[in-house]
Amino acid sequence: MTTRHIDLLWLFLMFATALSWWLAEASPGAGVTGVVLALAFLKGRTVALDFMGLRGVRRPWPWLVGGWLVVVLAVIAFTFLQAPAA
Amino acid sequence: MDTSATMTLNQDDTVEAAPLAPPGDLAVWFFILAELLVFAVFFIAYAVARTHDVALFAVMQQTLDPDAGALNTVLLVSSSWCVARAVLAVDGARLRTGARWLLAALACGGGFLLVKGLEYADKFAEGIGLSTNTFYMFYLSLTFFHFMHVVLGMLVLAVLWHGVRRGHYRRGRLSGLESGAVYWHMVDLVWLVLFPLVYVLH
Amino acid sequence: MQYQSQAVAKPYFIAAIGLFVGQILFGLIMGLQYVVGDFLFPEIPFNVARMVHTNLLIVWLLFGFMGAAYYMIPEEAETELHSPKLAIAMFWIFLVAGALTIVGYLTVPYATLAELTGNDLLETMGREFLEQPLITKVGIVVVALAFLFNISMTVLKGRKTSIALVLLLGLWGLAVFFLFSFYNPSNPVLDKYFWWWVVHLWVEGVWELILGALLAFVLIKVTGVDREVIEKWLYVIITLTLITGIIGTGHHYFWIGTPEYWQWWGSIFSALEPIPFFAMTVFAFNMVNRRRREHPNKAATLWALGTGVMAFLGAGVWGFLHTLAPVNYYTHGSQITAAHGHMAFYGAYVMVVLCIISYAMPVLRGRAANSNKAQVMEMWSFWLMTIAMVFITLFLTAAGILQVWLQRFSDTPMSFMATQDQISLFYWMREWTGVVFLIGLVVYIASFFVKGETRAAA
Ligand code: HEM
Ligand code: HEM
Ligand SMILES: [Fe+2]
Repeated sequence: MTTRHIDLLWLFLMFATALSWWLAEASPGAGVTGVVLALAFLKGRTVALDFMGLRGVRRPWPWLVGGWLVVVLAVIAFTFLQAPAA
Repeated sequence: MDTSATMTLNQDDTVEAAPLAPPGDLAVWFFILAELLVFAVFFIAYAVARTHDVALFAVMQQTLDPDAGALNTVLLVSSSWCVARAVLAVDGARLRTGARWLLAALACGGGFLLVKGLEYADKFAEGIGLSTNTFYMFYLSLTFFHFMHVVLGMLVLAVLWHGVRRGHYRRGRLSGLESGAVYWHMVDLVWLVLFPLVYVLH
Repeated sequence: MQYQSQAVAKPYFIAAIGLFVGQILFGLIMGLQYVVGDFLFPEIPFNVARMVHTNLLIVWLLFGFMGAAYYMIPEEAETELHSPKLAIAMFWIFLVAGALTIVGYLTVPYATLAELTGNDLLETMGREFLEQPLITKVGIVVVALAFLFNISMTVLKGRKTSIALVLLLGLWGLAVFFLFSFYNPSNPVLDKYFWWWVVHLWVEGVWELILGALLAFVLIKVTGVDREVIEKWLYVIITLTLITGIIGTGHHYFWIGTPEYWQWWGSIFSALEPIPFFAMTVFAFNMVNRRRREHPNKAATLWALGTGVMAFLGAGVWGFLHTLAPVNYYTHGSQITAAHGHMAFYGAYVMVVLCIISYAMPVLRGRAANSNKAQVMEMWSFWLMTIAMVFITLFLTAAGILQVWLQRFSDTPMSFMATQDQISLFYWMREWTGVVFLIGLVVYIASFFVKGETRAAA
């Protein structure tokens, strides 16, 4: 990992945050929900793999934290599909 | 979990970090997993409770300030970035730079607490509390629990800053620094789910 | 024995085991009263027997904790105890006060006892687990303070290890939370609210720190694993304990008139309380697997592993079973609660005290470990008591499920007493299993008197 690499990741995270912030104003819908959750997944993945340094670490680890992210976001997605905003 | 094999690994803390074990101390990782589990249960409880009263949650979410939430995301993500830079700097024996990055991370953390504190002050001034309704029960509990983690994480960062200045860490002896760093990234990671869930999705 | 003053632990351990016998006898009396309602009436009414059973339990565990601290602290601090004389004086005061209290329970009607002991000065009596007369409560505080002073001074002048600090934190917490037993607001909601600050914050808070410290100490001794590794895990465990256990108090605030958010807080945080118990089990097995020496005291190792497993089952699994508000809505105060209470108290606190006694007693008697014959006997008692407790728990759980079903869940609910009749078979089975438990306890005590080849003290 180089400093340049880390800086680029930070730029990406900033950009993704700006996008979700902008989507907060958008009218709610399944599409928006999907995009926001996908952004959250990408951001979380970056933090787990690159900042926490789990990329390339042996098995259960990246998998445990990644699994956490997937399960939590999947349950959230499921409940929003079940009960979409009015 | 395969603790028996990994626990022996920590005895080789001094060995150059092979990408086998996660950075930092195994005990800290165990702790982080437990914390993630607590937050997961909290998030899922929120999401399920919301399905029972979608209208209430939709209306109440409108009373939050997404700008404050977004600003706080920027602050936390940036502080995580600063910490990652700090670890790299110390690894490269640039201790002064490392200490400065940690200070920057602390400043971002302080900014987060300030913004969140102003949000709370606003709500309390309106007389909102845990018993106002289910949404606010969750909003206050969840964000306050996270708030306390930011406070704890900042204490850890302060200790690391002190350690870096004293020259406690260097290449091959980064375990303490890395342990604190992953804890802070965990606080960030949790917020990255909390922010869209509470502020954005409705 | 490395330090002369560790010897003060011995009378504490002996008293603990003696009171343990009394506790079990009263358990058996009550178990019989469950099915033969007028057994020993009017000499020993059920409510009195219950009070004696639970108070003896608490008091002998306190004797065990104090003995453990007097044994461990000099060795951890690497210095003699501040004042062995004070420790012995406190032993007699505590024993006599405890005995007088039990005699009071058994000979005078409770209301008269309250009158005689100045309950009208400050009303603290009449609440489960905290039934002690005011003077006994004050006595407990005095003894606890003298004890804490003694061991704190020892640690202050000597080496300060993590184990000693965690133990001190737990014991100070124990004393501080006991102070809430003097606070008895007339509002019943507030009364219950603070009552749990003693009861819950003891067993699911500060006592767990004591449990962790005792277990860590014995594991270091019998496995020879690096102190650094063991202490690191101890810190993780106690932090998780405090995070989940403190807010987890909310699992007692579901239906007592406290705000509704407790149903969420209590459910969420207490649902995670099994994590530190699980960590303790993993920790115990891991350390034993990585042992660097073969300690001759196999019995102590068995108790240490048993504590991990049984504490996780009793507190973690049986606690989780009824800790979510929607479940607790049905099971609250049923036999399921009693099942959990028995296995948790036994698995966590009874077993850890027997564990430290098992490790320390041979040393106090001048040998590294008991003879093989004595150890085999002790291990028999381990299995007898532990299996008996598992079955007591299972029978009570079965009774509890039926009780909830017939009395609370069904479309045509039965009355409380009619339900009790339906489940009396389980109460009989509990009683017979209780007899097995008593036999296990007798075997345990007998193992102290078995001679045979022993090795000299390490
Ligand atoms: C070693 C630790 C523990 C001990 C000694 C213990 C002991 C007890 C006892 C004696 C009671 C009955 C109190 C009364 O009403 O008189 C009780 C109640 C309860 N315990 Fe525990 N417990 C422990 C740990 C736990 C844990 C970890 C959980 C949750 C995961 C838990 C969940 C509960 C609940 C929900 C109740 C209330 C039951 C009801 O509503 O009637 N306990 N416990
Ligand atoms: C080391 C072993 C034991 C421990 C740690 C223990 C602990 C306890 C505790 C904590 C309670 C209060 C439970 C609650 O409030 O829900 C209790 C009550 C009771 N115990 Fe035990 N006990 C033990 C052995 C026994 C035995 C062997 C018997 C009888 C066979 C027995 C019979 C009872 C009965 C009948 C009650 C009263 C339950 C009620 O109020 O309905 N106990 N015990
Ligand atoms: Fe509790």
